[in-house]
Amino acid sequence: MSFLRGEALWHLAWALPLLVLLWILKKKRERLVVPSTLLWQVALAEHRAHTPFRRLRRSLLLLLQACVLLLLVFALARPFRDGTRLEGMRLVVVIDASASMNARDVAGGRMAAAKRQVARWIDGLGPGARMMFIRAGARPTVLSSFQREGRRLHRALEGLEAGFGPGDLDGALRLAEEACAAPRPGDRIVVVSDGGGRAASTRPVAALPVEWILLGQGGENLAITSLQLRQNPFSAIDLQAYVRVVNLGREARSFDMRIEAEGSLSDLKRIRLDGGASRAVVFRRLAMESGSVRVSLDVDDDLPCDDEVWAVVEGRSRLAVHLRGPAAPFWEAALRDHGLVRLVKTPEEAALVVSDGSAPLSESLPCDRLRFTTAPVAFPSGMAGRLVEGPRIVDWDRGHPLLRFVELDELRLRQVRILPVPEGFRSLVRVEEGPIVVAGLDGRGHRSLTFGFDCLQGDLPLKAAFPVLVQNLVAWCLEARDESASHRAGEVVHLDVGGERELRLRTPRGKLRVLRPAGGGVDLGPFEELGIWRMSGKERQWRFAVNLFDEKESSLSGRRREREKREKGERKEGRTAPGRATVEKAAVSRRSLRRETWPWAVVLALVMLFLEWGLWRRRAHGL
Amino acid sequence: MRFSTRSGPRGRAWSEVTKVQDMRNLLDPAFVARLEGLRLLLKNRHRGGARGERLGRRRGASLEFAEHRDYASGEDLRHLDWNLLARLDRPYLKTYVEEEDLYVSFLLDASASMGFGTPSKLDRARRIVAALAYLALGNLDRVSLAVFDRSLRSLRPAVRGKASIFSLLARLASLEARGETRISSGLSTFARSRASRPGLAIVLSDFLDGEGAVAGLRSLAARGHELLCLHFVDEDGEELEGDLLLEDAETGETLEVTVNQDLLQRYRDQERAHREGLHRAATALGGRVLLVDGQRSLESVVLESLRQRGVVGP
Repeated sequence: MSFLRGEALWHLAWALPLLVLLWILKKKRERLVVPSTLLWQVALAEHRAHTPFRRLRRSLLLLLQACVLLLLVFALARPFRDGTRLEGMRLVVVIDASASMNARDVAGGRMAAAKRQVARWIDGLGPGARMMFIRAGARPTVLSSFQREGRRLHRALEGLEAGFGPGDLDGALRLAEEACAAPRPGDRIVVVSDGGGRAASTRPVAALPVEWILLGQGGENLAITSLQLRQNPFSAIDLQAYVRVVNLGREARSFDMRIEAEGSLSDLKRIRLDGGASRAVVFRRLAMESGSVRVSLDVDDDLPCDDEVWAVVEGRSRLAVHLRGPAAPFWEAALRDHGLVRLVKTPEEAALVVSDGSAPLSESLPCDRLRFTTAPVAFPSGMAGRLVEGPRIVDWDRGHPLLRFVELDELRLRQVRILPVPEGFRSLVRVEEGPIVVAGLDGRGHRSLTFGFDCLQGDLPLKAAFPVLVQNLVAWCLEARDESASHRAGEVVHLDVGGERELRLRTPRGKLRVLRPAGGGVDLGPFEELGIWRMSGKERQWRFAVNLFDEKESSLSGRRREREKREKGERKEGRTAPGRATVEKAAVSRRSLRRETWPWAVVLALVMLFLEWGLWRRRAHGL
Repeated sequence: MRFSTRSGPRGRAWSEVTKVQDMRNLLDPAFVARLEGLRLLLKNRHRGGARGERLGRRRGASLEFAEHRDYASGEDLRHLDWNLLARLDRPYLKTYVEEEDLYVSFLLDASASMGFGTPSKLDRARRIVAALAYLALGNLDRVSLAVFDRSLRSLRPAVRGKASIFSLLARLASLEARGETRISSGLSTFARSRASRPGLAIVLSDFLDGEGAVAGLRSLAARGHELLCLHFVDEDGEELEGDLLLEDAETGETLEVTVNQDLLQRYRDQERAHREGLHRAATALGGRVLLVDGQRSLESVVLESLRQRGVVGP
C-alpha cells in the first residue's frame, strides 16, 4: 500500500493522539449523594458557559467521530495499490538516474524505492504486455528493450544504479518516443523520478500518455557547491582553497570541514550553518605545488555524494618573458624577483615579449606581446594613428584586470599616438583625442597589449602604478595558460592530446578504458563518477577532477516541489498540443494504472458516520 | 412543662410518649421551661374561631377598648358610656375587641432533601415545630400540621389545648424524609383545604424545588395566612472538591462535576441568589423569612432569631 499524497498522513499526528486520549480517558468519579443537584446544575451551566474548553469524556459517539476523521485523513492521503495486471500493452519505464536519486530520505534510498516500484510492475505483467527500461543518466541508455520475460527484466533492473550527474530526462523521453514509434492503444511511458530532469515536463512527447511517479520526501542535506584553488603569485607552492558550502535542509547543522592535500590532512575547520544558509570557507597556505586536493564534510546527511569534492593542482611553469628596448632595465627590476616569471634572452623561447621604443616586433612570434612605442614602424599595419603632444588622460578602464588598482590620473606624457581599436580589442586608456592603450586577442589567440606612448617619454616607470601594472600583466598572461583541471559531473569536454594515438583513461572507481584520439583531440564524458580521473598517453599524463557542484541536484526537497508546481501550472494554463500527450493526460493515465483505495475509506467513513448519527438519535430522542 | 405518670387521658398520652424515645428529643423539658411566658406574635390581627387569648378583628367582650359608636335603640345598655352621655348628652356605646384564638398552621417539608445534615434538616425542623406548637397550644391557639413532599402527604386538623401537644409530637416523631419536593403543590393543596383557616402559616423547608415555591406561598397569602418561612440550608458545597458524580437524593439524577474554586464560587452565588429570591417573594407577600443553618441550635433559633424578628415574644 502506497500513498499518492503521503504528506496528508501528517494529520494523523494530531488525530491519532486524540483518539488514544479518548480511549485512555477514564475518569473515576466519586459518587456523592446530595440533597439536590438543582443549584449545581445552574452553577455548572454557568461555569461551562464561561469556560472555553470542557473536559473530554469517554464517549462512543466521540470514538466513532474520531474513526471517521481517521478514515477521511487516510482517504486524503490517496492510498493506492500497485500490481495491477498489465495486459496487451507496452510500457516504457524511464528511471531517473541523476545524482539526487542517491538520496537516502526514503527507506533504502530513492533508487531502491524506484526499483521496488518497477519490480512490482514486472510481477504484474500480464499476457501480451511488454516492458522496457531506459536509464535517464547524464547520457540516456536503454537497459532493456521490450521484454515479456520477468526474469530478464528483473536482471536488467538489478544492475541499475544512480549516477552522480544530472539526469537527461528529455533525452530519455526521446528514446522512449523512438522505441514506441508506432504507438498502440494502451502503450504508455512511465517516468520514475524524484522530480529532476531538464524541464522534461514542459516538452510534449509523443502521442503516448506519460505518467510521473514522484519519489522522495525531502531531507536534510549539506553540499559543497564550489571549490577553487588559487595560487599565491609570489610563491609557487602557496595555494589557497575557496570552498562554498550550502545547507539545503531546514535545521542548523554544525560539522567539520577538512581539506586533504595528496591524501594527508592539511586543515580542518568547525562550521555552523543555519538551515538554507550558505557560506564561503577559505583554507590558506596549502603547501603544495602539484597534486590533488580533497575537501570533505564530516556530516551524516541524506545525500553523501555532494559532501566531498576534489581538485587537481598542476605544477605551473613560470612565465617566460623577453625584454627589449631602452626601458628594459625598469622592467627587469620589476620582474626579477617575481616568483612566477623567468627572463629569457630570445623572443622565440618567450611566452611574453615586452618591447619598448622603435624596435619592430614580429607578428609571427607565437607569444603574447606588450608594446610601448610611438614609432610607426613598431606597430602592426594600420594600428598607428596620429600623434598628439602633451596629452591629458581623461579616462581609463578600472575594471579591466590589467588596470586593477592602477592610478593614472597624475601620469605625465610628452607625446602619444592615438590608436584605433581593432575587432576583439578594447580601449583601456583614453586621452581627449582618443584611445592610447588597447588590449585584446590577435588573430592567432595571443594576447596583445599596446601602449601608444614610449615608456621613457613619460614618468610611468617612476610611478607607484608601474609595479602594480607589471603584476597585473603577469597574472593576465598566466591566466590565459591556466587550463582548468576540474569538470562538473555530466559534462562532455574536448581535450587536446597532441600526437597521442592511444590513451588509457582510469575512472575514480578504477575502471579502465582505452581511447583512440582523432584529430589530435579526444572527447571525454559525460562524466558520471565523482573524483579524480586519470588519463595517460605515451608522452603525457593528465589528471582532472569531476565534482557534482549542482545545487539543484543537491536540493532534495526543492526538486519535487518544483516539479509539482510546474505540473500544476501547466494544468492551469491548459497547455495542450494537438495529438500530443500532456501532463493532464498523464494524470488521467496514472489514475487508470493505479488502483486507488481511498473510495473504500470514504465509504467506510460514511457508514460509520451513519452509525454515529443513528446512535445519537437513539440517545437523544430514544428512537 | 412537666410530664406526669398519673392515670387518665394524660397518663395514657405520656405512656405513649415514653414509648417513643425520640419524642423527648423533640421537646426537651429544660428547653420547655425556657419557653414558658412566651407566645407567638403576629403582625396583623386575624379572625379566630373561638374565644381565646388573642385580640381578634371582631368586636366583643374583652377588656381591650376598641371604639365608641352611636347607640341604637334596643342595644344592651350595659355597654353605654355613661360619662359621655352626661358630658355630651348623647348616648354612645363602648365597644371592645373580641379575644379570639389563632390558627397556626405548620407546613413541614419532609422530602428526601430534608434528611441531610447533622442533625438533619428535618430533625431541626420538627424540633422547631414542636417548640412553636407548644407555645401556640399554651396560648389557646389552634395548631394544624401539614406534611408535604411531592404533594400534601398528611394534614392534621387543627387541635387546641396543651394536651394536644403529645399527639403532635407523636406525629412529628414518626416522620421520615423521603420523596421529591413539590412545594407549591403541597402549599396550594393545603391552602385549598378546609383545614386552612386564616392565621399564621409557618413553612419549614429547604425550598430546593426547581419549580419554585412562589405559587404555593401566594396561595397561602391569598387565603389570608401570615407567612413565616423557615429556610433550612446546609453547607454541602463547602467540603466538595475534585471530580465527583453528584446524585440527587430526591430524583436520583446524576451530575458529573469537577469542583474547583470557580465552580464552587458559582455554586455559592446560586445559593445566595436562591435565598434572595425566596426572601423577595415572601416579603412581597407580607411574609418573613428566617434562615436556619446547621450551626445554630434550637435555642438560638427560637429564643433569639425568632424573638428578634418579632415572631416570638412575651
